[in-house]
Amino acid sequence: MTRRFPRPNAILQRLPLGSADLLRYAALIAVLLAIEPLFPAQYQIRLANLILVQGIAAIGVNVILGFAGLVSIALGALMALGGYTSALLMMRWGWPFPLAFLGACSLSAGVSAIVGLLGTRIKLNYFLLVTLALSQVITMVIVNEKALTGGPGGLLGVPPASILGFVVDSDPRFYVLIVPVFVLALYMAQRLRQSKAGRAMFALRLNEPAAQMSGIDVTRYRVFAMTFAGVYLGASGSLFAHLLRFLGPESFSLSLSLYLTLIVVVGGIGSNVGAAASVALVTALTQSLQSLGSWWVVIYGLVIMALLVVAPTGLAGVAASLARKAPRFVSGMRARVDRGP
Amino acid sequence: MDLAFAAQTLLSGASAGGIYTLVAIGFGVMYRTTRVFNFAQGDFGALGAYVAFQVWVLWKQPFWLGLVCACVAVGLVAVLVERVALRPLYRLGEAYTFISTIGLGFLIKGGIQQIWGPISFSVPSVFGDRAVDILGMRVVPQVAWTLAISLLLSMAMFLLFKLTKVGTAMRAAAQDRRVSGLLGIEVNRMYGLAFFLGGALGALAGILIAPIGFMNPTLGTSLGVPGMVAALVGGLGSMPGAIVGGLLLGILQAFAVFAIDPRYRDLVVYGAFVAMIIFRPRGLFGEGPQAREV
Repeated sequence: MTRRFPRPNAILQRLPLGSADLLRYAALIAVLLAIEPLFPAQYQIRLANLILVQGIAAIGVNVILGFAGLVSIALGALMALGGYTSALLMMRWGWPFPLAFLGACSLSAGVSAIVGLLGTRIKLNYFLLVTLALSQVITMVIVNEKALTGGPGGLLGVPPASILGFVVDSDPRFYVLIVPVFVLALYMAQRLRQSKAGRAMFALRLNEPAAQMSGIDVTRYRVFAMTFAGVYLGASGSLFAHLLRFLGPESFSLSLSLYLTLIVVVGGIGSNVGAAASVALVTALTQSLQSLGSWWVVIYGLVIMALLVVAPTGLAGVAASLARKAPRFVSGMRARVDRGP
Repeated sequence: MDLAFAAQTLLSGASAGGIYTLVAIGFGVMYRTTRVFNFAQGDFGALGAYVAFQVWVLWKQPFWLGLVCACVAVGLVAVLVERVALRPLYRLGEAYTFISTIGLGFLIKGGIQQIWGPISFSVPSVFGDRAVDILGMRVVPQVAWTLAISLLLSMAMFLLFKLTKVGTAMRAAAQDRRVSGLLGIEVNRMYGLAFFLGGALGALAGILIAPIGFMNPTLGTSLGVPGMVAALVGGLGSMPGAIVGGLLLGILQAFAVFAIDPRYRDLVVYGAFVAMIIFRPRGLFGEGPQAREV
């Protein structure tokens, strides 16, 4: 029996390491770590940490919304699950941080996968309600099981993260921890985008019947997307818990889900880099307009509705169209210059 | 549990179910015509309740005026939203209009909180909340009226869609936008009408539920979630489905208190929903795989 070897290109694509692409991500880590001393105060480092933590969640949301085309509002709830799992495993059962972190990721991935499994039998609208139900149930448990979770008052004294004796108890230290994790998350999501699974998800989102006719298994790839995103949301929640060292049911309310959806819409549905960039942009805007206080919910709602009408492709779409137009613009200018005034 | 008590529980459950039915029908009217799944339907209800409260209690006008003002105001808001925010999104697909209505829900919730504050109001009941003896049962007039009004309106909506020319035109617009346009149906006007009706029905549901318990900005969620579940359990866009789904849900919720910890009462709603998804994903009366007759 003869065995056909895959083309070299295909081999390269399968290798997780060794592609030249990887250098870019290494450079990104180096740059992010190098700019750390430039932050003028502790507060900016805290902000950068929050942006990176939320960036992980936003990339996860992009996989659900942008890759698989599913609208979920259990995003905050899955983060809460990750956060509480990781904190409680360390506090009540004395697990070391890396294990608790992995536990948090796998639990949210598992729950997310179950939701995805339920969601494959139904239409988009039903799926949203499943996620709403999950989100309400998780909130209910957090608020009512006071003995375990601290109830509505919140969970105080979450221990800091620590890896092999390196205790991450300050913001600069947390920054060193979060940067590689964030870049790894971005890298994996970009790999997913280019992989067979990612292309299958895009095909499903754009035209489900056609994708199905081409032999793409809807159930399989939707559950895959939900599991993948579950890991991201769980990781983000866990890191959030160990960054703030406090957990409360309000930290993961439905508005957080709206906020994350907004971020993906702003960044451009389907773009990981756009999602990551838009976290930084939206956080910077929120921080500079902090005096607006509780008006923010109103503004999020308005911005989402306006953006969908004005620029449904988001930052990524705007950037892409600029990149398309720029050469034409430059050559047009050149032609005008050649022709003379 | 003796028989009279069971009957009373049944009635109060059915009354709550009647309100869910109204929400579900408002929902169905919009979905059936425009294919927009309006996540903000419950918040339309909350907005209606607040407007009616403003006119009736704070400005001391007659109740019917508050009712009419609220229904018209919310209906117009819904028409405006459809015109400005949703119509440009139809060509992009259902997911986009859907995300937009999620934004709308938060916009209304936040707006209510800014205008009327995060506090809870207790709303007086116009039908009276002192129980009366009927056939050996203690019946609260509010409960009986709520049930009667919601059932009547649901029937009216059902007949509107089934028998009148406008109803047929709306259903046609839902089925095929382009062809109905060619046949002389003013599709955009039908869409606007569907949103007006949906908004007004939502407002009515909000006004009916406001005297039960307290009125606060999260009313929209506690109204919208069971309403959406009722619509989906009954089958999206089906009027008899909305009635059966709403009543079923309300009664189930009323009896659930005896079975499980009241703090986890809402689990029953979600449980029913998940069970329905597993065993009959298109709802009790939902459209099958093949398109239904117009």
